[in-house]
Amino acid sequence: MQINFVQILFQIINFTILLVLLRKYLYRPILKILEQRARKIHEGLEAAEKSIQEREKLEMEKKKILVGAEKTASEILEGARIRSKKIEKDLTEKSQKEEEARAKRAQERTRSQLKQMEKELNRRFASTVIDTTETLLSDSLGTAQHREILDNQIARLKKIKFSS
Amino acid sequence: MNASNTNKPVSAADGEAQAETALVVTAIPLSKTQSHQISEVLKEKFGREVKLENRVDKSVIAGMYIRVGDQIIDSTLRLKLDKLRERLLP
Repeated sequence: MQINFVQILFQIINFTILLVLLRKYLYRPILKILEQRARKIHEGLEAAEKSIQEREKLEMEKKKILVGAEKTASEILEGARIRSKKIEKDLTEKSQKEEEARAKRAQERTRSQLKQMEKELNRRFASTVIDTTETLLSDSLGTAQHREILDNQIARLKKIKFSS
Repeated sequence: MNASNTNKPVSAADGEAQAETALVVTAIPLSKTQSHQISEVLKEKFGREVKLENRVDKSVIAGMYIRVGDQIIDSTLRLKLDKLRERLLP
């Protein structure tokens, strides 16, 4: 087997030309595309990183807001509970006072009615006693007793001073 | 036994005429002795003769009511009961 140096040389030249052409028309655009892609990937990654950070930040804010909202809700609920307790207490006290006042009024009314009834009873009793006394005296006094009464009064008449 | 003025306006002439007559209201008629005794007492008190007019009225119950001019002496049981009624039944 004989080595053809000329052929080898031509092949080396061809290969070199191919390399130069490939480098110029294939590798460079591909590298450019790769660089662009790498840059885009990098930018995407950065954007993703930024997005993640933003999301975390938002999550934290959300948590913060939720905690704040929970605290506010809890305070509102506690306030409402206290207010409702106070209202309930006030209403109970008011109702109790009204009930007491009503009972007192009823008691006073009953007492007044009793007093009135007692007064009326006494009045009727006194009236009956006086009427009975009057009737008894009218019926029971005889002439002798009338005369005795008149004699006594005549005797006392002498002691009375008249303004003449 | 009460002596009181009626506060009725009486002229001097009327007073003179009424002072001579005493109205005595009783539940039974006065006896002559009682009439005499009353006349004597009134004569002594007023310093002149007093004529008695005895009116019988059962409503006085007991005792006597005397009116001489504008002066009244009411010692009837009726008055006492009326006063008692006023006190007990206001």
